[in-house]
Amino acid sequence: MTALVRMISGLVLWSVAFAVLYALQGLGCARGWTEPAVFGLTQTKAVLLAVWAGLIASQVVLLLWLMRRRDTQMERIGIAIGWIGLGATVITGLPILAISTCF
Amino acid sequence: MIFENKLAPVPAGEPGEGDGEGGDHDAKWKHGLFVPEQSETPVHSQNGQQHHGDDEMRPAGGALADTGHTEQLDRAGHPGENAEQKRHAGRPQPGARPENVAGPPIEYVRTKNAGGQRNRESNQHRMNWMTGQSDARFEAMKIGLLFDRIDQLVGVPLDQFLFGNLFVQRVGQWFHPLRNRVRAASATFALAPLAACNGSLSTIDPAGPSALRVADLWWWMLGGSLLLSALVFTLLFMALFRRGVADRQKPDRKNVWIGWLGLAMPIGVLSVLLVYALWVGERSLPTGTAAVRVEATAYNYGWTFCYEDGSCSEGVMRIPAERRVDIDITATDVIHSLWIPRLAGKMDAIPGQVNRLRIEAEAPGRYEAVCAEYCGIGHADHRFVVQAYDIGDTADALEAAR
Amino acid sequence: MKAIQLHRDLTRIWEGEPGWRGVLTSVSHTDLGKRFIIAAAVFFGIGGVLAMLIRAQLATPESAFAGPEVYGQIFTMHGSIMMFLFAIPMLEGLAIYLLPKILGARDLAYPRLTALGWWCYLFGGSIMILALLGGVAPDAGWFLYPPLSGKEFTPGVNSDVWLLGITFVEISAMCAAIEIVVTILKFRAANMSLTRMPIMAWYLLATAGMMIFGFPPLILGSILLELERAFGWPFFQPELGGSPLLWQHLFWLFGHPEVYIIFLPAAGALSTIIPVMARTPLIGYGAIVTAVMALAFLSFGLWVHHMFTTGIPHMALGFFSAASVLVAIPTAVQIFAWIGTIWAGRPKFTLPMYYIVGFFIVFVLGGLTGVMLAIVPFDQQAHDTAFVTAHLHYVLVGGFVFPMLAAAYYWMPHATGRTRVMRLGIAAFWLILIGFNLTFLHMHLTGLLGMPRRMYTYPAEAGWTWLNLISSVGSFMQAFGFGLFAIDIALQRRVGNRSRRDPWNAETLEWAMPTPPPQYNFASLPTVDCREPLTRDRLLGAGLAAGRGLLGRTIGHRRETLAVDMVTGAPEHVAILPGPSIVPFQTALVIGGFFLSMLLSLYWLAPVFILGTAVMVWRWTATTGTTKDDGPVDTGQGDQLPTSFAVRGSVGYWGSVLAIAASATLFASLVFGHFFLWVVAPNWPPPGDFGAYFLEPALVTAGSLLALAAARIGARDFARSRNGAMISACSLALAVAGLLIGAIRHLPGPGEHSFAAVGWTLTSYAVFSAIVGLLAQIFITRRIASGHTTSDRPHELRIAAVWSDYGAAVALAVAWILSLSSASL
Repeated sequence: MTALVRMISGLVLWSVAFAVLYALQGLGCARGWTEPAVFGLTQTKAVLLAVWAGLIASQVVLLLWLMRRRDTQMERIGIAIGWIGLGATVITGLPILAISTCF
Repeated sequence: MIFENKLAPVPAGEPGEGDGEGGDHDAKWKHGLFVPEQSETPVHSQNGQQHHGDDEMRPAGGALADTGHTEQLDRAGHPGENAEQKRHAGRPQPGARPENVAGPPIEYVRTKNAGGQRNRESNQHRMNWMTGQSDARFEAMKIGLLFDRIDQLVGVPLDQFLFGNLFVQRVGQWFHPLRNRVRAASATFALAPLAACNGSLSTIDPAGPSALRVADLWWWMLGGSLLLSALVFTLLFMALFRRGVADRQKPDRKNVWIGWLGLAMPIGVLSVLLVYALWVGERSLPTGTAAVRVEATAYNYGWTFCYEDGSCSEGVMRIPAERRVDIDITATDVIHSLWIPRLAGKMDAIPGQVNRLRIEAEAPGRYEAVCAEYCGIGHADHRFVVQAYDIGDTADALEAAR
Repeated sequence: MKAIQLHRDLTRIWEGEPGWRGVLTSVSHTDLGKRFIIAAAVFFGIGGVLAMLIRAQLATPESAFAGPEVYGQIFTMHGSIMMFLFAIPMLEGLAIYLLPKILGARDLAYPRLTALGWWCYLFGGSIMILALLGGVAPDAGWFLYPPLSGKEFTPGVNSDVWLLGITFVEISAMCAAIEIVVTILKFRAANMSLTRMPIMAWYLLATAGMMIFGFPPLILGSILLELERAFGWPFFQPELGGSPLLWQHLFWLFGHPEVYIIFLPAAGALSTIIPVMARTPLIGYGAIVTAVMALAFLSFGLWVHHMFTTGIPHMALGFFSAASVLVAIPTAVQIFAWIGTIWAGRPKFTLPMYYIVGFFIVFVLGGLTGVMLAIVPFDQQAHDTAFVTAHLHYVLVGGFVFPMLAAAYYWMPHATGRTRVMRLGIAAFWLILIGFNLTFLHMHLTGLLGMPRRMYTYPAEAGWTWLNLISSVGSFMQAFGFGLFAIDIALQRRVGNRSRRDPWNAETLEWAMPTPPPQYNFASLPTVDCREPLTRDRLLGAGLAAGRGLLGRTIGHRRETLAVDMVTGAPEHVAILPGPSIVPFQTALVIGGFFLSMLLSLYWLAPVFILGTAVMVWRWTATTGTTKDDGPVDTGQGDQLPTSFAVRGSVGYWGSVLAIAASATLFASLVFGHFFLWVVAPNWPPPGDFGAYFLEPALVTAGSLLALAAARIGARDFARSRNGAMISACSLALAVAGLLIGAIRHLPGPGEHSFAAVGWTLTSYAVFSAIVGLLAQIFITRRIASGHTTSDRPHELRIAAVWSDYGAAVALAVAWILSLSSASL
């Protein structure tokens, strides 16, 4: 069981990351945190950027941990899924960089 | 713990279909011929294909041959149990391969065919071998022979270099005279519908900048899709009909298929598309101020539009042309959707919230609009019209419109 | 001789009861799988007839064929039948039939649960069809958006039919999903590690996992809408603090994974059939497993792409657009792996191969238009037009129907032991392929020219006339094609010649048995050491029939199969399975009684049936287990393994874990709903006085923590487990009391505002979960008293503990969520 959970952990972390980013964005816009706060960015955007960076970092940490063992095929698949989780966190979060937050 | 392969006799009537194992496999491929299906129907002259001295291959006459066809096509396995088979004298022994039974090795045939000359005699042999195959396999065979010819023309075996193949393939096909004619005809055919792009509700006949950006996006995506589907279908049909040494003897092509085609190519294409898409989406947002604000309220079954001067109109929205207009959309009962296809994308009218849509009409005129969310039995008639008036003629235009 | 004796013994043990009683009590996965498939095909026919009615109406402008009221029912039922009564049950049927066979097992993990799923599907589907015949079918679109589907705008019973009927069918889907996961993880051939499984098993594992997490949001949404319609609890009414968008989020949170749930098993069939037809192994097994997992997870991040026009901010839409675009990549990996496999092999042009080529043509086009629709600005033009109708048919028909038709021809020789008869199949194929494209290819253009969906008619001036007429002609061609297919299959079943055992030279274990398969699948169970056991040993089937595998002997009247370690496949224990039973049928009737009483507005009757269901579940679980210690059994190969009664990690435990995962997903969706409405919905805060309160939450905390602690006692020391169970039950009762008192004293009436409606729903759910835990603990005390649960057979303790733990945790969470929310208002 643990081996299976370990194998899919990269994508489980992405799911959490996605939910967190979407929830934060919704909360921020609904609560009206749209005043410029940090470096000309709105509070919502600043928080989103910070959280996104943190989530990417945790994906990297997870990937490094997964890469420690690559003996069985399941472990190797787990590493591939770790990469996918990292890539997906980066790509699905890209709109934070370029898109207006609340329109 | 595997079971020893005891010397259990192969049950009678079960010629080994154990193809795919190494040695046999090689033997088959040395002949270089695409072997789509084991043919267990025996070789008989009356079953032979009639060779009429041209490239056309017609199925043999005779009921016997037809049942042979049917059996071959319809039985996934072998027709061992078929009573008819048992009647034929020359029943193949278990393990027999048709090419062992008839015909010279195809290398021999190939040399003779250099330059595309068809050798009648070798074709006769080939046709005997083809006894019992269906028309579909003849087609496959013909395409395989075409690939053969291209191989010879270019001097590079097809399966050597993947992308080179595609290029060669396309070039080879392009210059074929018959194909040119077909291509011209289908181009005309395909372009004809383009004339039908116009329509009062057509998204591909844009009349405003937002719709124009989306229409451009659409044409780029259509072009990309046609290219990608051509790529996939070409690869698929090549895979189905190619002949050549199977890759099992070569290093695994997994990297090409999964790495380059499955991962790298889509990631590249999709990244570009996504960036383009997000850019177009940003441009259409109602940021900043607009020239005019309209409040639109949808209900079962009509539309009310109220303007900044306090007046309201039913079923008609009057806006100035060449100005950005922001519509604040809501509904009073169920969910509707406001859609003026020639001007912009749609925005839902949801009770309890107000959604803002930015539109702009490039020229004065009348633009049709519909409700685009199912709202009950009156949904099909739940339409309205946008009248864009020229900003210079305000008073006159408004008078005329009323 | 041994083979014949073994066959006779096993047949005696595994055969069903004779006659009608046998039909009602059957737990045979082979028979039930076939029933699912045949019923799904019948529903496909009904949905197809509805499609033809749609096309008949739309063939000409301003047609008088059907008015808007009837048309609303027609298109709603077409979508609902195809999605819920055809697609999901068809893939369930395939999984139920095939899984034990390809894994090398004798049955699924919960045979009676399979039967329950079948009866629930049959009854729920019948309710829907009867409503259609009675003219009260749902008519607000297959996704039933409120407020249109609410009481005010659909006063009749139409929407209730959908909400209740579909939920009834969902129960069958949840049962199947849990069973599939546990079967794949536990019931495999010896030494069949996860990476030695046939690829189809990975696809089904991912699909079932997606069902476990994807269906509960829909079940919750259906419960909420039904509560709103029946009792006026406002969840989706903006005037009372609700939001129609909540329904859309819950629905599409289910709806998007749903279509991948439909696609994945079909892709699994392709991954199985293509290597056989190409006579070469599948390229990139590991890459495909990775791609399947990626699809399974990523598909949960796409749902808002069905809501791109609802006014959600562009950045949020961007997240979903990026994810929707990403999901094309694992799909592409599979497509190219398949083409690469064909390339590397020597393809045979059998009839399944025709349908596979059809799949490639149709599905790739559908996938490309799907990427287009993932693009926000384009979707804002194409949403709710015929373009989307065209796209969804390309991906669903191309990605599900074509592979299933190929699978039908591929596995018919297995199920019937016969081969095909005539060339009908080819004719059917061409009619379907050409007819389909003639119906839907130019429909993309129709949509771009502005024709919205769900229009019962259109004006002649719109310029869509010819396009619609051609679509209608094409649809009739398709219908003929499907008709010919049905005739062809029936002929093969009835009149086909006997085929040999393995006509395709396939690699998977289902071909290592006689065809049609016996009820027990394998006379003895295989041990595998590679992914393609039949290559190693072509005569594996004969050897197994002769009893040379594991469990090649019978013990009394026991139904046995092997349970293995989840990852490595090392043999772990011998699972003892139940035989035919009338209990599933009776339970389905009782559950049906509940749904019917709600449907007929006999609300006072509903609690009676809820109680009845609890009684049936108690009876059901009471019939498992044994009071005797029987020790380890001989595997027939000189080894000894314990039986399922004696292990700690029994299949019952894992099934409970998964059921709780599903329930937890429903709970999480409800909590999401609570916060969503708070943040997004208009007319908040709710009127009235709110403030902090701590007495009742403290009561609940005490009860919950005590229950958690008491359950641990039993786990550590069996002698005190009975006391532990009693304490646990009483503590949970305390928690229930705290929850109810808290709600009565501090929540307004549920009909007043959505805060109260959600609060009462949360409370009811917590009470329900706590009572389930309570009942589980009481059940355990009875089992200890009767000798079913002893220190040597403790696994039921663990199962009861997991239910009571969950009940306690939920009670704790809900009490504090409500209290803190009240404090913040």
